[in-house]
Amino acid sequence: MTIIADKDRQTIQEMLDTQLAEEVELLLFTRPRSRIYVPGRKECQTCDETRELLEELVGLSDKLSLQTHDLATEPEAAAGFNVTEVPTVLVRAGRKEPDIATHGDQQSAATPPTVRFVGLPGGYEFSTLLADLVDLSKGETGLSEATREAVRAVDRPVHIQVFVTPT
Amino acid sequence: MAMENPLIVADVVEANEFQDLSERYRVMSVPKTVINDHVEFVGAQSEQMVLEAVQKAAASA
Repeated sequence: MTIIADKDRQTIQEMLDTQLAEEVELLLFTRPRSRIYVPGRKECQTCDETRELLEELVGLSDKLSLQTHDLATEPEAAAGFNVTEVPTVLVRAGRKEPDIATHGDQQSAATPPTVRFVGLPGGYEFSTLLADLVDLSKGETGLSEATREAVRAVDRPVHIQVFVTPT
Repeated sequence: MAMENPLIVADVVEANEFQDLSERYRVMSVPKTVINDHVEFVGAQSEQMVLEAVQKAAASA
């Protein structure tokens, strides 16, 4: 059983073929279902489905790649990317250098991904994810030049959270 | 906007899956946008309005 409907698969693949320029990397932070029952442990309801969805998606284009990290076994990676919930999908334009370089006590990350999806990116959100992948790939956002200048002038951390539902 | 400035992080949060977050931010209808726990608005807004919200949130960061 696939998650992306067969009729959509071709459309998406063609869209990606024509629209994607540079490579885009997707990082998935997930927590696999525990094989034993652990009382009180909250299972991630959508982790498996998210992983399958993303695997199908990156299979549709050579320019997309997926890295999967387990929140439980890689807490440092999660902390490095400020990931606290699962599933979280981070997207960024592809980079050749390693993710995290350690210099003694300090950790520096090569341009941490700043566009993230928390929870299964299903329904309408999937279109948003695709649009983001294309924008990142092209390095263009479609914002006006004035807005872009103003945004680049922001010099303090800003955390935008948009709450959505798939329908 | 997150793509234009590495200081800006944008999360799309699935409200049904993360009830505790939805409750924390009193999400009654979607889309609801919360910036730096400080500025919020519901529904789609113009580019200019979102920019102003980001600037306002940054000013109190």
